[in-house]
Amino acid sequence: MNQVLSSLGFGIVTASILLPAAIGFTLQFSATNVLNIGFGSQMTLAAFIGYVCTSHGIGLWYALVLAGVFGGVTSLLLNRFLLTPFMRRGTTFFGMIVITIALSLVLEYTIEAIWGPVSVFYPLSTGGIVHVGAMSFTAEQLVIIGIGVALALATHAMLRYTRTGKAMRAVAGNAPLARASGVPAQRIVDLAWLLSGFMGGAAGVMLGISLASVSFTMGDTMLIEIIAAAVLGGVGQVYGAMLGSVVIGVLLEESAVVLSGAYAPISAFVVLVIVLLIRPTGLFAGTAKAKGVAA
Amino acid sequence: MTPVADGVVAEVERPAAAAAAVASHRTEPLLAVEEVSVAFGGLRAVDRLSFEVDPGTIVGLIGPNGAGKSTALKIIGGEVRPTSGRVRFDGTDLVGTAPHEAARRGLVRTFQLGGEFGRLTVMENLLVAVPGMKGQSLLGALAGKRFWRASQDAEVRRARDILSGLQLRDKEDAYASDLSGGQRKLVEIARALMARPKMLLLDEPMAGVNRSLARRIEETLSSLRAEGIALLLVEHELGSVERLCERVVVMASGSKIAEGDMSEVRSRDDVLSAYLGRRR
Amino acid sequence: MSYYLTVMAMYILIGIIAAWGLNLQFGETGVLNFAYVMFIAAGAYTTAVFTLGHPSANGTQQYFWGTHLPFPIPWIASMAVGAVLGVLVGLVSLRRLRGDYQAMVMLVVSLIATYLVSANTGFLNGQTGLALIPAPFGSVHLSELNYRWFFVAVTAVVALLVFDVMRRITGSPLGRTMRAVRENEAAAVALGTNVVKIRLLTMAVGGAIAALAGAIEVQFIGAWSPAGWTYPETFGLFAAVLVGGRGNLGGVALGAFLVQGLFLEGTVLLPSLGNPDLVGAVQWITMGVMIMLFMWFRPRGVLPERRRRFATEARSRVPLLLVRAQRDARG
Repeated sequence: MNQVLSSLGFGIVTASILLPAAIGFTLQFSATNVLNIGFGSQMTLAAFIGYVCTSHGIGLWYALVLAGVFGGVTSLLLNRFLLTPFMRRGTTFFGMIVITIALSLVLEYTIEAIWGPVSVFYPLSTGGIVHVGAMSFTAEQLVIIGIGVALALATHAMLRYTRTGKAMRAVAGNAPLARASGVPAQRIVDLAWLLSGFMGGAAGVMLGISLASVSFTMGDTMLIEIIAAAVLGGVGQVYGAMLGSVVIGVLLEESAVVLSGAYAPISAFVVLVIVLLIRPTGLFAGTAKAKGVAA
Repeated sequence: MTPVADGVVAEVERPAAAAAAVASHRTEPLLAVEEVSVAFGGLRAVDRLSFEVDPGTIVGLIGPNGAGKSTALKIIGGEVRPTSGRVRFDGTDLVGTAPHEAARRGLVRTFQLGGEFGRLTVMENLLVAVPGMKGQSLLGALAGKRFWRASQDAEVRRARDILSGLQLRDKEDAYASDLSGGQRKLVEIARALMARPKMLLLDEPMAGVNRSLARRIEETLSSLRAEGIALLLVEHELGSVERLCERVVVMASGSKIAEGDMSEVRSRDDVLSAYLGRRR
Repeated sequence: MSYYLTVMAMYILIGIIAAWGLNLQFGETGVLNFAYVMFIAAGAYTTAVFTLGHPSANGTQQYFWGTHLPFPIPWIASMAVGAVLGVLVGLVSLRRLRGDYQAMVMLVVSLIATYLVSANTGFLNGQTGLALIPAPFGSVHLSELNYRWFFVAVTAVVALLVFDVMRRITGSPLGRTMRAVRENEAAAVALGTNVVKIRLLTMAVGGAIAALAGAIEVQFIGAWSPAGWTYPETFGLFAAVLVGGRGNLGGVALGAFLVQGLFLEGTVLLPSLGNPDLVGAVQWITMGVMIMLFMWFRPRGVLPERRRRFATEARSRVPLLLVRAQRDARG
């Protein structure tokens, strides 16, 4: 019982990292209808940028912000100058996923070419441990939880209460219609990719902090969990992605209690398979059906 | 009554019974849509829709944009599963069967837009529709050309006849994606005919087609009726509907609001207001 | 050098076989099987356990089960496993999802399979992988080099057989239905095609071909580990199909020759760039860039799918001029 509770702590940390990552992934998809397999590699790249910052003496949390900004800008540029031209050319979503895979290969191995196949390490404080019931957290973990929750709340506030957020939802629902009713769709799409890149970059650094190290294949593992969370929540559903992140995050760590640690990613996969078999539209079915992703 | 007498009576009555059976068979509709509803996220796209189509007739399904006509067509064609209701075709209920079953039973649907196999030639588009062609199974394919060649040749000839009838014979080797919009619609109709259908579901076959091609499509459709194929036609071009259809079903906001022949339906106030109130 | 030539020839042939299997799925039916390398691995592991013998006889490595059966039984077993696995993966991932989501799920399947096998040492010797896998045709007595050339020749024959199977399928009405599914799923359904069945069929046949490639490879190199089938390997094959020309068997073979042979294996011949990791990384970066360039400039590949025409007269090939003359006379 104690073990279950203490891994709940880890689960909350993992969920907090997954939150911005899955939100970012989903925002991209709902804005442009492109499934970006390169998202994991973009996160990894940002995490390495974070590493570069720290090794130049910049504080860990400033590095996180800088890496997030870097992630946002690269994401925006990639969409503007790589993905959008292909879409304009009429490349099918079928072709687009091949493009994002190619992108993923390029990013991942560029990282390997620059920093090598070994892990790099963030400078972490060896500070005290905070106990909350049976759960215990390092100071860094507490900040990670705070950032994850804050980013989720900020997303919620933006989508719900700002004009931009409402426009974003309109574009996600029906881009041609939104454009026809005067929403500047291109600007909204740019913004969505900027934000999602920021979220992904921040999540990359958060993952690096949580693992204490960063390696070039880090994004692959993360991508499985992001996809599991996104599919569980319902394709293209930001709130679904939030719920999916929490469920998958906690489940990953709890299953590590039952199974051995190396098997933990498999539980995310099992959830994915079960969802696909029983309810392929995910918990929040709306967008998946509207976009014809799942029936 | 003695058994013998009984037999005599039966003997006498048989022709009449047979005639009655034929009569009842004649009135048996080919397609019967019964109380069909479907809801998407609380919104009722189709609400308790019922109508029938007799063999060899053309029925028009009309109504303003968003009335649920295309959705109704998708339900009948098996693409969308209704929340409730039945779709009886040729004596069997289609609801709950796999989506490709409708076509196998002789009910073939065409598409409003983008129904062609773009990077297949026109001839290939037609051949795909042939039901149960030899060489469509893995073993048949592995058996080699000799096994399926003859049956394919026969279908190629039939396809050429159909294409000639639609004045598309010279396009047989063109990729469907290289044709004009109107030609694609013709190819779709030709393709549907290759399936040897009892009935076609046509989703706006004349939308966005130039006038001369539209006329050709219209002629094709009425010749199909002459061949005994029933048609359900969703169409915005009411002139064509009036010329082709012996009966129309009018839908608005998911339900049927009128049914009858075009001139009769056209004079009704509720039909007019549904059109005028919605379209503009 | 001659020794190295056998390696090159072998990798090219295996690459061609594997690329043909992928082409059936991706090029013909339009299934984006991003777990393709997993099927190669399944074939390799199956042949490994069907040749290594009982696990207790192999003190140094662990695996869950094993036996020793003569050629070609292990290869056939591999194909069977590949086919069954194809159907299973297809049943989970191809259900009611749009194509790109299907692909993503496949990618996850591939990553997870690597995890599973790496994490569980008792299953297939984990991260270390299996080694000392015996070569086939033990009864053939040849010098080592001649034996290798003999193996290459056998593989070439297998490749010819695979080509014949692929040609039969793609040229048949079944192949046409597959391309119809690729072009327009909804229209195929509306014409009575059981799209699920067609996709599962492609998964099974493609899976069997992939597994066969894996089976040959594992007996040639004698070892197999998770490092050899990470997900980028799948994209090496995708690149081969894209570059060569999806839907064109000759094009795909050319693509496999270029990408697998010259590009991936041929670079080993180049003077080392110093850091061996760097060579690998640069290869994959170039691969990614090449995929993008081809998608932009030549999305149908070097040798595009050919247009299929039907003889005008069923049996005799009437010269075109004659046909024209007849048509003019009629018109």
